Amino acid sequence: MGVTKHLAAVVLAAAVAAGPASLATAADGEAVQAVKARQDLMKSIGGNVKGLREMLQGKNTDTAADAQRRAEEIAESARQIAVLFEPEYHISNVGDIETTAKPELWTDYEDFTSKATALEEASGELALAAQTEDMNAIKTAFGDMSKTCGGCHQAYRVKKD
Amino acid sequence: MRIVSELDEIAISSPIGSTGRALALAATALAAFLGLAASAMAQSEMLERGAVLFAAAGCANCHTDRKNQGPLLAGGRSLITPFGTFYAPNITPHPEFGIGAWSDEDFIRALREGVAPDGSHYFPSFPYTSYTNMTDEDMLAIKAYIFSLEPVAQESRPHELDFPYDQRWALPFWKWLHFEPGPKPLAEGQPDEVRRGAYLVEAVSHCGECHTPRGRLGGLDRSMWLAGSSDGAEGEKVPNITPDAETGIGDWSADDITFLLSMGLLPDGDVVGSTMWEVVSDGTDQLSAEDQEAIAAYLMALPPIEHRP
Ligand code: HEC
Ligand code: HEC
Repeated sequence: MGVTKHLAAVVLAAAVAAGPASLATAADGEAVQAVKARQDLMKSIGGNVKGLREMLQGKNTDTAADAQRRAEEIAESARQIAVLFEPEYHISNVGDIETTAKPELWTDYEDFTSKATALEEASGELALAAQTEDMNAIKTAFGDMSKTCGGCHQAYRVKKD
Repeated sequence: MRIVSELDEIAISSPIGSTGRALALAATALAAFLGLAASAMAQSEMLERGAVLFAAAGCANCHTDRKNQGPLLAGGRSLITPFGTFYAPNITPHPEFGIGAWSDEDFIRALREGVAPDGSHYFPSFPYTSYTNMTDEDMLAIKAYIFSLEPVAQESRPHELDFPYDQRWALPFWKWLHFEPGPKPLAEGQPDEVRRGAYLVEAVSHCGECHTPRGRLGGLDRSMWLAGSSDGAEGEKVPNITPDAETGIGDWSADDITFLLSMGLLPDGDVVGSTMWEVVSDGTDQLSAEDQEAIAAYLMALPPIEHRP
């Protein structure tokens, strides 16, 4: 707990430093930042997934080296998921920020973190596949990784229209 | 594995020559041996084919209570409809609680005609209205696969339906209005790839059961085929998947569709959710790339319909 707590503080501090200052009222400040930090984390994963996907579709000029970098960034993000969603940040909507995290995320927190670990491992596999520069291997590993996202979202995210 | 080809014939060239009785005998023995090997192979191919079809047809999505980690096919998942709540029954090969005692004919009749072995009629919440267009071979491959799974002794939960929809005797009337047993030819006159896609979409994966709006009596509104619906299986909105640029998926490429069917990814980098995730995961992701492309070709060849569910 001590280490993850510390990590959370660092990640949060970074998020606070990077985020817009306007959000923080004294009481809500940390809560808002926590939700915002984890939403930004998901957005950054989404951005890398999109980049990988466009490479596989031939829609951007990314190389296998870029794919490896993106996969490593996703693995790094995956390592932060458990921390940013720690039970003490079990936060529903705060201020004008809506969260789509389901309450089950915290009641089944262990399962949730095991799914985050699955993403970390699958993105690690993808980084390895990228090193081979074999497009078919990259595509397969990318598919396996994407499915870990889907499985977790299905269980713990409220889908908005 | 590609599933929508004719069952591959296993050609065995006859080794029988014209020189003498011993040779002929040996040849007969060899032929018998090859015959056995061929049927074992046909059996394992049938199981493999059945597994893919079973996944793409989503049988487990309804017949398994996934929310409560229920055993595979032992029944229980709730299907909320405007008519009440259905619970798909136990279809494991258990002879008493499941369908273990069913013959091939019983099974085909249930999927083709929506009729139970005792002659009673099924509610169309069991999508036999789509499966009716499957070939006998494909139905039996699914049966073989189901019969290779664990039997589970668990009683099926009764449906909770509102009057008058709880009246099973009224079903023949509903069927007379809304149902024509297949198999009927699909996407006639279209290129082969589109026709293969039509078979997968309309007969096997029953995409229309969710993506097409229903009329007051629960029949699919064919004039709005795949144009989106506001009564999904969990009361959710189901999007328009015709190639309409504004309200459908007209701006998706074939690739975008196959990425969804194989990995659950949406074009914006997000993953698809709700019941569509179940359709993809251990579902359309099991289809061959060729079959996924066929579905894309079929969707892109549909007439675009402007409709926002
Ligand atoms: C959309 C949900 C759904 C899907 C998908 C589905 N079923 Fe069902 N199934 C049902 C429901 C609901 C019933 C009960 C119908 C009734 O009681 O009239 C049922 C009934 C049955 C029965 C009759 C069981 C009995 O005891 O009489 C069989 C057999 C069956 N389904 C097989 C299948 C197979 C095989 C598949 C896949 C090819 C499948 N089902 C896919 C919902 C579904
Ligand atoms: C059990 C109901 C169900 C079935 C069966 C189903 N879908 Fe879906 N589909 C949905 C729902 C619900 C969504 C919206 C998911 C979301 O909001 O993330 C969806 C989303 C989609 C989308 C994305 C559309 C968009 O604009 O984002 C496509 C494409 C799609 N489905 C195609 C198919 C195809 C092809 C099939 C058959 C292989 C199919 N669906 C079968 C329920 C279903």
